[in-house]
Amino acid sequence: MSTPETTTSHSTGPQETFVLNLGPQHPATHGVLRVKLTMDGEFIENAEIVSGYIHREHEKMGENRNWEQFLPNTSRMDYLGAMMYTHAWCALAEKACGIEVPPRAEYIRVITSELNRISSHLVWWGAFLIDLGGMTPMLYAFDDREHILDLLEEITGSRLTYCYYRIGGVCEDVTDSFLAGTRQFIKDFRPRLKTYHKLVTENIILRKRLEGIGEIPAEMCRKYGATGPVLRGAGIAYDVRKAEPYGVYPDLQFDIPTFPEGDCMARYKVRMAEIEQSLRIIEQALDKLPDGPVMAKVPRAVKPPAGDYCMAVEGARGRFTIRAISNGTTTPYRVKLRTPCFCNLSCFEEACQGMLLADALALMGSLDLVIPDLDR
Amino acid sequence: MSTVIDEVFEQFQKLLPPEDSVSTAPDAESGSASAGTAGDSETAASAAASEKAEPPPEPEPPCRRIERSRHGYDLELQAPPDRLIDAVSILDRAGFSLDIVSGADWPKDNQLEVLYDFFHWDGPHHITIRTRIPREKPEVPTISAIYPGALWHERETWEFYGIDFVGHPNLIHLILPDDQEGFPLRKDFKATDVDA
Repeated sequence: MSTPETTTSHSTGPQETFVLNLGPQHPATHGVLRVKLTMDGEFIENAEIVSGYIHREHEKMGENRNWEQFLPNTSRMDYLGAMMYTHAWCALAEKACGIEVPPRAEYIRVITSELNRISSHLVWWGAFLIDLGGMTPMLYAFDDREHILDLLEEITGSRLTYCYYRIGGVCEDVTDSFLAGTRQFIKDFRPRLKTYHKLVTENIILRKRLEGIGEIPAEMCRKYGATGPVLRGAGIAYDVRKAEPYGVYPDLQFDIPTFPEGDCMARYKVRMAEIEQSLRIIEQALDKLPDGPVMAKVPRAVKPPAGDYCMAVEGARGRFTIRAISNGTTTPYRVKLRTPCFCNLSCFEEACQGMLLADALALMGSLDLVIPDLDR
Repeated sequence: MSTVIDEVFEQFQKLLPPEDSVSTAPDAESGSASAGTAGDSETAASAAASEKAEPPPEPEPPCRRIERSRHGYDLELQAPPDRLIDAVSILDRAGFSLDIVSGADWPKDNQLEVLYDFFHWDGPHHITIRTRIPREKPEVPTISAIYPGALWHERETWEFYGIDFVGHPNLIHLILPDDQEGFPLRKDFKATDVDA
């Protein structure tokens, strides 16, 4: 986008730019992130992300505790989608050690992960609309999210940083009231989703703020490794649950929602459609939930044979990959955590050039950032 | 086995023929955990080699197939730093997307390693390229001209391992503070060495 003529006629002169700090405490960054913007009037000439404010060195922590002890760390990166991250770590160790997870545990994992995905998308929905100046939707979203948190709290004991999965299964069986409550939630939530669409999605102000704004084309996604709703909002039907199936996802019917526009609205619509798909997945998993144990026989100490292991899962924000190197001991030799926010945000610097500041905030909100996920 | 992987495997074979493995001997013969990587997937690799009717060479061939059900990725290439750009270009042309650039420290071999992971939109294809470099002179060319997504990954790997990505336009701290001393993910790093 080129700078319109009007700015050049301004008294600041044609070549004059100034630096604007967005953050580290700006509410629009949803956490402690700083963006150094070089501005030409209201237009962004250049953006530089300054990150690391919530860095905790999870990768080094992985090297000085054993395979089981690292599990809680994985839920403290993307704290809004912690289930999927713990799933990745458990699945990696299970694959490496050849542990067979009981089917009931796999189905429970799917149910809880998808509930977590919905609650994560609800936070995004509320927060994103606050970014755009709409306060009310957040109150609706947090109301519904509260039901999910209550359900998950009942079986896991936590509201956000779950450590419910174990290497070999899950730590506790689900209760009847959880299953009944989940069914009730799905029943209640479907009409609420319709309300959401009526209230927000078709709103003309929202559409004007999002349609055609902040385009991230598919090729840019490929070069930067952007995944999740960002990639699906660029028209590519890539979902780790389908592309590299894990758990019992291959047994469940669901679609990958895609929208080809690549703008903020496309990413918005992808997430809204994903909520519906998650409801569909949970329903099927509840119907199919088999009886049986929820924990496999696991050796006292998890000791994967020496070698390299990779495991990718579809987090709420995209592809989360763990790359671990084992040297055959109880402690990992190296743990690399590839988080979707890192890759999704890395293309922001290129994508926001020439945009209006207010539009760039919409773009940033549409990336669904969780800063501890970026900083690790 | 999927066709994308087969195609890349063939092109990797052309780039670094199995006979060349002698030149990468320090990588293959290192007696540390990376040799263990070989252990599990040796059968898969030698099976692939025998399919091509070539005698399985004593040192590891540079390009090996990996057992996905166990290790979670399909193909591994041991590339010397000067062939890295060629290898990454092959993956770029094959439509791969950048997954990770990361490092590992092997003080026993006095080497550092850079690992490049790539995934594909079309299915379960995951390829890893590994490069070993001496600890005294840890230099590899940047791949950011091919995959701009590597800009951040390389900055991170540089600040945590002290690996110099030659040609990187902006090799500055990304996550660690600007006055960080030492390279925290190196095995000999002690937090107590740094002034609090």
